[in-house]
Amino acid sequence: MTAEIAVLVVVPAAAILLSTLYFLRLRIERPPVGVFTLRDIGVMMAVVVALPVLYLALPSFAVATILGLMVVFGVQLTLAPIMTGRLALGVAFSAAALELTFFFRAPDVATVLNNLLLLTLVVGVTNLYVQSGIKVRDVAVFGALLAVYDLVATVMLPTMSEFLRKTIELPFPPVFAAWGGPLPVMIGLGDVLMLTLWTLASLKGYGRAAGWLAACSGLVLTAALVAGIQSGLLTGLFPVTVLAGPFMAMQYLFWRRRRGAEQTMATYRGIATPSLAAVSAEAVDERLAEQLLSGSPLGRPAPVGYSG
Amino acid sequence: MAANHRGGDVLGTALAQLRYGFSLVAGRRIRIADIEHVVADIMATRREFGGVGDLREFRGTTMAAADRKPIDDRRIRRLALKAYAETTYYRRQFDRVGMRPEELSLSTLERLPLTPKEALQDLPEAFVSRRAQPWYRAETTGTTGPPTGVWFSRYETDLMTAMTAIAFLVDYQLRDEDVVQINLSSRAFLGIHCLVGAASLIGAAACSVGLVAPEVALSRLAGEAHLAGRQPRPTMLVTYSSYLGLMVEVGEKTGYGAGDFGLRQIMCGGEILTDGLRRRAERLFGARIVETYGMTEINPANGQICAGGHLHFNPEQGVTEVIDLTGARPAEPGELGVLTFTPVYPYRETTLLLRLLSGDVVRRLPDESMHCELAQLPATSRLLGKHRHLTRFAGRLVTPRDILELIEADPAAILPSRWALEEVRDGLELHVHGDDEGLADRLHERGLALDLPLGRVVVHTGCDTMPPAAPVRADLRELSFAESARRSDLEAVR
Repeated sequence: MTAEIAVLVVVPAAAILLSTLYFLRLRIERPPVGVFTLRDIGVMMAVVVALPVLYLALPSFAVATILGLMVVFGVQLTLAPIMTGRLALGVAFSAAALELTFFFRAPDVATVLNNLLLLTLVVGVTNLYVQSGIKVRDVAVFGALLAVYDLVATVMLPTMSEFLRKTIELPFPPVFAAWGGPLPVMIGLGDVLMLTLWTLASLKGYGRAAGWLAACSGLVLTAALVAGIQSGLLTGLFPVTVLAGPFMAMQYLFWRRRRGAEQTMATYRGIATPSLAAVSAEAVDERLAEQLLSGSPLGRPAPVGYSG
Repeated sequence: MAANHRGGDVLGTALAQLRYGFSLVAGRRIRIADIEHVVADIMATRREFGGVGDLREFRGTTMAAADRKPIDDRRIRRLALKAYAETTYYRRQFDRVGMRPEELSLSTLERLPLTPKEALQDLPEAFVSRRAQPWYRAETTGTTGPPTGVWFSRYETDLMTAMTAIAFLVDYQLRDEDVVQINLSSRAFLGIHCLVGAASLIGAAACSVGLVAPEVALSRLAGEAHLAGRQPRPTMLVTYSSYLGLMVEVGEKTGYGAGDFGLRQIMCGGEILTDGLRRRAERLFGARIVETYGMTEINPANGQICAGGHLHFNPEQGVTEVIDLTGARPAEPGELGVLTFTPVYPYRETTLLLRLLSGDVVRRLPDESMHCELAQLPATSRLLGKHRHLTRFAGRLVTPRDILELIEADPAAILPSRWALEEVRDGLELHVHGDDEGLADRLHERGLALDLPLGRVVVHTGCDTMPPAAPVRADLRELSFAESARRSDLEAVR
């Protein structure tokens, strides 16, 4: 298997598969109150814009520490439903310590370990979002905004290339990578997160068919990137979400038109919502009309105790 | 506002909760918008997930007493300084006992004399902060004494409304299709205002029917009102125990059954709710009864009764003490005592009260840890009655709850119970309003089995032959024009 296929197809496929299995079988702890809304997407977008700038300003040691902590807590989040909180934290810290050790002694092994840790993080983070109620609409909007941002920050500005140049030399780089030649083949953590998040949100919001379409379209996209690289058409950095974002928006509009409003988590899980015996406006109108026709001047018998 | 705010917003919820917590710790006004935000978020969460997670933090159950102490000390001190500087009553009180307000804490609270209710009744304005903006003077119903006036600000009222909405969501799972029927005294305007406002925040409907003829109240509960998006019949009832008893009495006699009502739950408070009344009410209405404890004087602080039958108080809203019946010291575990309240800022800023003697008797519970769902909150026994209504005979203290539980355990008891105790040579003579032949014997036998010093039980078919019984809130009947005219005619004939 070439490095391009391994990183650009196998990694997203593994992330999608593992995250979906996790979503179907495990419950991640979410806040007792609160549902993701577009306001939260706005905040996330602000963080996405600010983080690379912040990382570029900070010394490398600080950036590596922040990235390391993110990996540790992301892995702990994923493992928490499977083992006790302390054990999950212990495993996460140990794995991170191992990667750090290999970073200095055997960088190739560190790269593989980093890929595994990031895969674990993707499973937990995407499930946290979807199990906390993020909607297909919200992810589509986020994807569209990221497409614009990625275009600006990668193609028009040097932000992302500088960010990548800085972090690839550090432990816990936020990229999945494989070495197949003089230069590594990479896909950003954010790109894999988005492709996975889109699949889970579509599955929950519009059902299996939407989930399959999301997964396949994402993998077709990354396979196309592989073809582009191998044919020599694509060299250097390519912002994946510039294509993925509009795809997500189009799929959302398609499903919205076809199936209407998306499902809530309660509907998806088949949780019986309290019976809405409250009647529709049409039924109410009908009953009131019956009462008006039923004979008394007020349309119904006088209530007990009323005598003018 | 929450009906317009669609809610959700994970980060916004977290920020609102942080600000709320900061307000409590820093002693700053709570932003009403933050609580309304949480209300909207709970509703959005319920819509998305079909339910909400563990909401113990919204009940103030997350801090242990030892961890709370420094915060409580700080809040009491702040209240004392404010009360000294801004109220006539407490300036004189602190000066009279030679205590500086900054000395007040949980450990030194006993040095400050208790505030009798009569002091607040006589001159409510002496307790009003000079810096406050009083908006409304709430009057208690005065069934157990002269009415008490308590001034509240607009901020306090809005805060009470928002907190009631949280309670509606957390404790009663109220939904936007629900209809709340309120059968309280029309003089309890503040309580009604908060209940209606809280329902509005959730998007539920409400109607205040008042203490009308029970037939009218029952017909409102059983009647259908067709409104789009609403349950056709009221799904929640808010009333007093005595009025609930009156509805049960009339409802049973006129042949109503659980199928006639759409009620899911009944919020009942203001008076003792006995197990017997609860059983009959649950059977008649087919609804869950939730017992509450509250007093206008200490609003928004209130008590919740858990599944274990304990009365729990939220320490965030104030300090609750149980003072022994002599008023000299804290009650010992297992001893009867009187509930005494010190509502704190930011829940109260207009009428400031330190160690208000409520007159309500409870039993202080042993100090071992409880295992109920509200175990983290301090607790006492359920309400046992008013201090002035306790009766002592042959070393045994008989509480109004003892008598009410005895009477209302009998399915033939006429509700609301009318009773009086008279001391005779061989025990207490219990006079009860009833119409069942065997009632006297059954009550006497059961009373002796419960170790009550009952010499005799006398059943009266009419209240006019009984010694005076304590009034109940159901007596605050609101008359229709026809009823009023009939009464005027009767008085004219007399």
